[in-house]
Amino acid sequence: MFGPVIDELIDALRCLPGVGPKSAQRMALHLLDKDPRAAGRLSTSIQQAVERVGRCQLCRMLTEASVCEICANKGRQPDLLCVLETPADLFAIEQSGSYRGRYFVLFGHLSPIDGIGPEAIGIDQLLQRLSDENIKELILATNLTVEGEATAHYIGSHAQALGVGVSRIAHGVPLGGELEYVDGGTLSHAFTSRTLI
Amino acid sequence: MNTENEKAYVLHTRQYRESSQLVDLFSRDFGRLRTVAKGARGKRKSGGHQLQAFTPLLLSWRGKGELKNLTAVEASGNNAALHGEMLYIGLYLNELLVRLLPEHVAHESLFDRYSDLIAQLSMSSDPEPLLRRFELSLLEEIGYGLDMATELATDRPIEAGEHYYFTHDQGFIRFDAVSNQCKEGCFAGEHLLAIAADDYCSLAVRRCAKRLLRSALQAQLGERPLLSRQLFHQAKVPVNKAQDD
Repeated sequence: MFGPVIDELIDALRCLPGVGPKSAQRMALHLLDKDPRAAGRLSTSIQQAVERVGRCQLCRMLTEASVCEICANKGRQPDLLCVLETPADLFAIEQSGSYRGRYFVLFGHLSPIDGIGPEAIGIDQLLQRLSDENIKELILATNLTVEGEATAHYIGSHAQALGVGVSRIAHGVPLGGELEYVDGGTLSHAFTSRTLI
Repeated sequence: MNTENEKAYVLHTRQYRESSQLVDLFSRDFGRLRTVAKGARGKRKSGGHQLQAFTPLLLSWRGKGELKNLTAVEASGNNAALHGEMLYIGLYLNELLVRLLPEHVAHESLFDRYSDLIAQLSMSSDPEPLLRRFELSLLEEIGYGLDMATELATDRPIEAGEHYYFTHDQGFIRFDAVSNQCKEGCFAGEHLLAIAADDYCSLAVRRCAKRLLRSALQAQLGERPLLSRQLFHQAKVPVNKAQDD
């Protein structure tokens, strides 16, 4: 409609999550008309990021160095490792500020129907790390979905066979939650994993 | 077309767009179908967090096309959570159903069996006979049931003491010692009769049933292997290792 170059830009912007044709058009017109300098900056930073960013050798997190900042940080507890499904989970835990160990990011979960097995999410690399390093506790912080549970169980049983202590994050009533409004599944989890005080 | 409070299980979910999910369902009266749960991820208010496999649900959906819109999710009855090894078995069952059940065909009795099986799995310590029974009824439901009482070609009854070949198109054929066939891969008549009589006490019968059903299911599944079965075997490795140590 606007010519091949603009149409291509609009089409390219649609690859972003939550961006449909209308938003893509608005973004493209904004970049070209209102803020061409920002457009230049955006294009260089996307190009740089795509060229330079890879995976951390140790935890598979996205990073531009060979080892990410968290893995390279000496202040972090070296014998504590937390397994996560996505980088977004890592950000969420980092923001909570409650954890000072290191991470391992799977970028997915076991899902036989989708054809995703242990190799596809780096479990062999994780197990290699467990046998090479002196890790005392492996914290399984995969999602509380069927696939997340299966992933946690798979990693947990293999890690135990290697003699590593394994724990699973607690699940139950959320902060500020009223029992009346909590669903049955969550409540039964909360009861089975109750703690002595 | 609106459907309200239909008994169903989630077979599989996958992320769809920003906050939605594509949900494969096994419903009692409409069989297997695919729905989209808009805004199901993240917001707890929409009930999307309840869209988990192995949980008995009451679901409502609407829509004319192939892909229906999920409108309401309610838990129904007890949540029989599967843990550990049973979780892999559950994933295997769901993979079987997704691969073998045709869409939009009701299988009420199979649904009831599935529902019972999930409840039993959460309590059972010996899932093998339960699984075999379900596999047999699944084959029967999709039109490939096994007749373990008679030879299809000759109409002779299957007898203990004899050996039988299994072929996907002709059922069981008696092993003929005179011809040059190899006896390997045959099934013993007494084992087949035990399976037909639903008697899984002996280990040999269990082995026979496992081998037979694997071969019968594989014929329907085609070339692509079942990943959940592979996963089950890979998951078992550390247990053996620990025993050896």
